[in-house]
Amino acid sequence: MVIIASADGGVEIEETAKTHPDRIIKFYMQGAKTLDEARWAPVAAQLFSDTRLQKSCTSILQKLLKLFFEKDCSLAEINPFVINGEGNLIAADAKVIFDDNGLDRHPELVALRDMKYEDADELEAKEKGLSFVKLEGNVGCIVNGAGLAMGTMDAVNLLGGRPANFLDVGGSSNPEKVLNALKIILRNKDIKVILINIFGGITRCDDIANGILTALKQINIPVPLVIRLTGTNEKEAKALLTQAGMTTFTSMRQAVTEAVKVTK
Amino acid sequence: MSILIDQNTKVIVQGITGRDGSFHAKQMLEYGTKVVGGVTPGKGGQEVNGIPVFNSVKEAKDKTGCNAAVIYVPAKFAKDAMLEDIANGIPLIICITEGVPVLDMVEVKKALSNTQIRLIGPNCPGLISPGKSKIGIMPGHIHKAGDIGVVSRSGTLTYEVVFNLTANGMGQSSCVGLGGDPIIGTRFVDVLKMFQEDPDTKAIVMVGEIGGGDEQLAAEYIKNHVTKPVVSFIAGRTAPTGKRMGHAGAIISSGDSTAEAKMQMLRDAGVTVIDFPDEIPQALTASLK
Repeated sequence: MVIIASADGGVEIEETAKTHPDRIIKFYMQGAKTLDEARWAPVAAQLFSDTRLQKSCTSILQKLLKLFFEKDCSLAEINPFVINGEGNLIAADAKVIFDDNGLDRHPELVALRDMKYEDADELEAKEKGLSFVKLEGNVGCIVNGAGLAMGTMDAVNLLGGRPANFLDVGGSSNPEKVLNALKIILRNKDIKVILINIFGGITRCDDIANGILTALKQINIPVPLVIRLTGTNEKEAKALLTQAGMTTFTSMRQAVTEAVKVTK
Repeated sequence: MSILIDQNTKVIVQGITGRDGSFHAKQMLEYGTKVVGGVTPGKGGQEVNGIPVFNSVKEAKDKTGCNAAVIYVPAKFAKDAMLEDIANGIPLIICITEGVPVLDMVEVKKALSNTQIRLIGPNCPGLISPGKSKIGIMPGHIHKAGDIGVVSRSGTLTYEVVFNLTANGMGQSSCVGLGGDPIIGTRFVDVLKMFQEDPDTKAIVMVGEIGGGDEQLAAEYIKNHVTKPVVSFIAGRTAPTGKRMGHAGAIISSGDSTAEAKMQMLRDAGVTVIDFPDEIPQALTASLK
């Protein structure tokens, strides 16, 4: 945990880090949750020559730290600190990033979400246990596992296509998730094909297959599905899908190549 | 030889009576792992698939002599489960749980400092020494014993990599899943060191992704300390800046945490960086010549 401070306020600190790294002070908390004022004092003196402002800065910082720890923040930033007309130090603007993993214990923060700034599809996906990020492309992707989902997007791009989204259906085999994933992805009218890439470890391939078949009965899927299923219960999965007249791939490269081909 | 776990490792399962804990305890047992007990406070005296359940880690350790613990408890209890292991001196802790708050992990890391205890995870699939022991959720049947060490931040992407290795006759010495969170117990450099020192590991496969600085640190370490061939795949080349891609730690917040930047640093350190997981076996063969 570190406090990063600079007397060059009002500018992007990442810029200052590149152009004037010596103007940035890093103060490591060393496991403490409150400011060790004796250790901090020389830093305050570097930032403000006026002792009254040093005291003020220290006091505000203690409060910022309290916010940080109480609300499970990943970042709490005051930029800029401004000396107003009366000569007092105030926070003129701030930025706070909350740890997504901490939100379960902060319903009061969740209630503050401003839907104007959120993507409704991405939030809905999250509520349904999916991880979803919209991109600009026409190959819809449904994958199990974040790393594999990223790898799949990359593969689509590498093989000449444009991924439309990142989507991780997660670890469980729940067929509902496949249905929800398809519904959300299909809202994007640019989609020309949906690539389903599943490596079943804990996720059972036949559960995914059943999810796909159920979805086909329940909703209209106007684009081709390119399906790759490997791992646990892949034989059962392939049998189910073959019976329904669908083909499946075992190789990720082949599945991605096919999906991209469909879009051309 | 394998690293960290082998056929003698005795592991207890925290959260054994839960849905995930009981399922995976059974899977581990079937693989041949020495699962010697489970811990669920209040359910001591019960049995899950023949595995005795204890009320506390202390009790489990006293009665079984375990030297590892795997955690399948919900995120809000994970910190306490890890702290309990640390308090009882369990030398190897594997936390599978996803969703652990960052500040909880800061506390856990603090408790770990000045101890010799190794934590793997959280939000990880665990680790496996094929043919010897599996502590985690990976599908055992895709693995094969051999001399390639695999270390990764991912779960299913790791299985994809392992699948390709096994299909090409390249067995694995150990596969370690570090986890997808920003603060983890064990990092790339820690496992690279172990693989470098393991006489039975001949080459290393490193699977990274966007976010954080671990691959960069690994590149530096490899340049100076690793003589065995390293082949790497980095996921997230098409990820947009500032968006969390599933894993809590997979977010590009600065120029050097992009996939391309990491790939370049690794290449500069002598690592063979490939574009697709199925290119790994060929790259290994070439570098082992």
